[in-house]
Amino acid sequence: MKSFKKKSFCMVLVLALLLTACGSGGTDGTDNPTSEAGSTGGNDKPFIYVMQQLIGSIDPAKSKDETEIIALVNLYDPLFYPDIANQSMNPVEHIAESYTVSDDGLDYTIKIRNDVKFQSGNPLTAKDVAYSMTRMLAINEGNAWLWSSVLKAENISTPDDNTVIFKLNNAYAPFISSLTQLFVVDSETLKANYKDGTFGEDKDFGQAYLEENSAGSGPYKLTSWDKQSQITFDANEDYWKGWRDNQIKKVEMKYVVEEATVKTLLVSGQADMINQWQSVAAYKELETHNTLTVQRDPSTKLQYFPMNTQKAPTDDINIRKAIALAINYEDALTNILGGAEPAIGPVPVIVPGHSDNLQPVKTNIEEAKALVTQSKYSGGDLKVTFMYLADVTEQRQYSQLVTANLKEIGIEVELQPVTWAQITDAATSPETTANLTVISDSLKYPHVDSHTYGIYHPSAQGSYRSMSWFDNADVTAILDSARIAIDTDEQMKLYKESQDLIAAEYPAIYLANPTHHIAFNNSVKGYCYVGLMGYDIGFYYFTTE
Amino acid sequence: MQKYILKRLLWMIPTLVGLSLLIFLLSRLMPGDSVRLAAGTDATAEQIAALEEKMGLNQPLYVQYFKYMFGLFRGDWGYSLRTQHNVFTDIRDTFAATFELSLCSMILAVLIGVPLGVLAAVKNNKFADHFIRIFSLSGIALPRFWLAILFQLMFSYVLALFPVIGRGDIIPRTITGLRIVDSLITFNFPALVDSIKHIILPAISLSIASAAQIMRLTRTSMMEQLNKEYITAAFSYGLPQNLITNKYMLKNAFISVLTTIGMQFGSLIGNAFLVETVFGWPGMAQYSISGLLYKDYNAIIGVTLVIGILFALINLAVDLAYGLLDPQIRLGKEA
Repeated sequence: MKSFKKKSFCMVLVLALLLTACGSGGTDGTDNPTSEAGSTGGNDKPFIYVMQQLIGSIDPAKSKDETEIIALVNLYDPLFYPDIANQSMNPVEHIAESYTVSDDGLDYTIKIRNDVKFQSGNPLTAKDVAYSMTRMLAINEGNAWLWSSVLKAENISTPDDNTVIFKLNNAYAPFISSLTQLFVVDSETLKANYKDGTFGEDKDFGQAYLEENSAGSGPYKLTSWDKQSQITFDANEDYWKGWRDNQIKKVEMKYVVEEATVKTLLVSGQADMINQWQSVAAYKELETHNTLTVQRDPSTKLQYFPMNTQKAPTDDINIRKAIALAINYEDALTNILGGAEPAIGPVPVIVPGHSDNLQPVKTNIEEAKALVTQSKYSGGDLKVTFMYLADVTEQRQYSQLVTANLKEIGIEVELQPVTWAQITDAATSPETTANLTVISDSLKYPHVDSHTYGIYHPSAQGSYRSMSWFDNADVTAILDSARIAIDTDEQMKLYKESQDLIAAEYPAIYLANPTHHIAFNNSVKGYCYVGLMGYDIGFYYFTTE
Repeated sequence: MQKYILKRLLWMIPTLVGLSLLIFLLSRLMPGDSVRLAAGTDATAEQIAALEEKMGLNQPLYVQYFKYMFGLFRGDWGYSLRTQHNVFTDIRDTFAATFELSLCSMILAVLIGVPLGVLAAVKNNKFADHFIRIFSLSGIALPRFWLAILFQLMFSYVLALFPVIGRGDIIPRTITGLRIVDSLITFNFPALVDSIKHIILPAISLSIASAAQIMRLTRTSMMEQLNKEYITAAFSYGLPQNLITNKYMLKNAFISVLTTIGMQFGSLIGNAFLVETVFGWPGMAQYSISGLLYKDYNAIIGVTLVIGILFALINLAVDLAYGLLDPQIRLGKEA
């Protein structure tokens, strides 16, 4: 009898474990009955956002990646901001009240609002804007590359407390758009907290202070920061835009990498929103829960495979075109990306300035084979190298797809699964860059210049963005002209023309504008994807029911 | 004894120097440009060069190595390319979390493994023995991260008994960095309960494989003792079973188990990465793996040195413990 009870107990225990392993919590659409849906209900409870990467720095002069930009968007204010109200990425005045541009496109006179205060209580004036840009240029990290070639610190002036003038070295079409990335710091607070440094009387420019503190005017204040796991913000009650009912007053951004854990947190209600970097399958699963919203938007991401135009055999346009025509786009978009919009040329479709003249490339094996025979490498053994991130599922699937597709036209593929560090290293010279590389790129600033000049101008070579080593004199000339064009219509016309010329050279396989996914609790309202990395996670614009 | 300890500590120095040199060279040989990665994907050539200079990476390798080694003693463990902080600060912030998790896991592994091993030996070839052996085989075979996800689903999501992630919401005053210990020292019982609730699932997940190893070895060692003449004599004298098992047999069987415990503790710290990832545990293991993927030179060396020191100290502690268990091998004294 005793033996039978023991055996029964063991069987029940094993069964319980197996059942839990088979189920994943709510695949039948039911929800966790033991937790409330949503951890924030207006809003003493913290709003919990799950981030996929640690925040290295909250210094506006050093931020580089999405999580850092999210922190800055909430702690600071930039001069211009994406037009959230109209769900557009086009920059509109934020701390700036208005601006004018001189006829030669060199002088930008920006009027600053006079009702903004920093969290310290100090008023935000033009000298803080000037200081922020000067500081950015001097430290020369983070996003300083946006301005380092077009602006010198000595050419920034502040004729009065509410006016700042930027005198550029040369006309620069995306200048206003780029100012969405200039977050204004409290110069008085920083100056009072200088430590020894290498910037003369500006010492360390407050870098040591901003490693542990913030000095912004944004809607949230830094409350605590465990650099290995979590950052917490509390509402800046004196925020110049004011507060409405049901806005979020406390935020915890938690670092969780494991996808299963991220899903568990959201489904159980212990997180309110998760980041965009989970797998497509994860979002499909989360959709089955009726307490959750999975929002999909066309994105400004571009998934493409740059083809090295300076390395055999992809230095031959016939080979590049053949490869582009051999790819099974339908398979990639449907089965690998779970349904994504096809890319049409080098600029994501939703970016203002995208050329309407372009059409998506369609698979055509026969034409591809014909192009191979027309190439200068015809008759020989054709082999290309394909570099991709080894730990990304979609990219491993691309490698298999490309191998199979190119085999049909007689091209052998040598796979190179690598880490991101290896890709950025390989990008530094045409010899080390693979024939094809998988790149996923996002808009760096809300302007078509980011995906044209930023990728296909010779000045961009040497970075991961420019692994096609594209160098076309006509395109370069057009891009140079576009950048200095004053008239917006003329600018856009030139940018579109550049896209047409670029696409005609087949420097890349333009695969997809992957759909942007994000998942959050149904109680969260106000989320708006505007296409600019990090700016959709402005907690100030969310409310909870 | 003191001479022995001093000798062992001194021998650690060349071991650690050799380890640091090896890992320094290996990290430089790993493919990938970590400076470019750290500077940002849009960094200009000037920005990259400036960062290389800031980190001293434009100097000859031997200069970099010596500067690094001298910096170790001043608390300057180099700049982390990934976190942009001094590696010493990063390791200080994360080591306690991993050590606490590993220590709790080890304690659990011993508390589970040793008694079950003893029981299996005493009930040799009976139901208990078979069940325990199946359990130990499963514990070794099942991957830690799978168990971690399973426990998380069952106990955090379905049953909602434990939190899903993190080290704790109530943070006691930091004295040792081990939250359970700090809570006890400061009599902060809400923090104690909160810390225990957060550590239970990760500790169990991490401990099972070690418990299984300990269980098997304890069983084997105990069964060897079972056949010894002194045990037969003890039984014939009518001594109680528990006394014979727990006082005489276990003490003699434990020497080989102790070696395993020492090795397991060291490996727990390295294997904690997957469990830390699943439970969002802000530990050094996760920090080190991220450092490897980003080719974060200084972080890789720093973590390797810390683990190396820890291994050496654990081995020393195990060797000293032998002397406590067996007078015949009391170190530094003649038998």
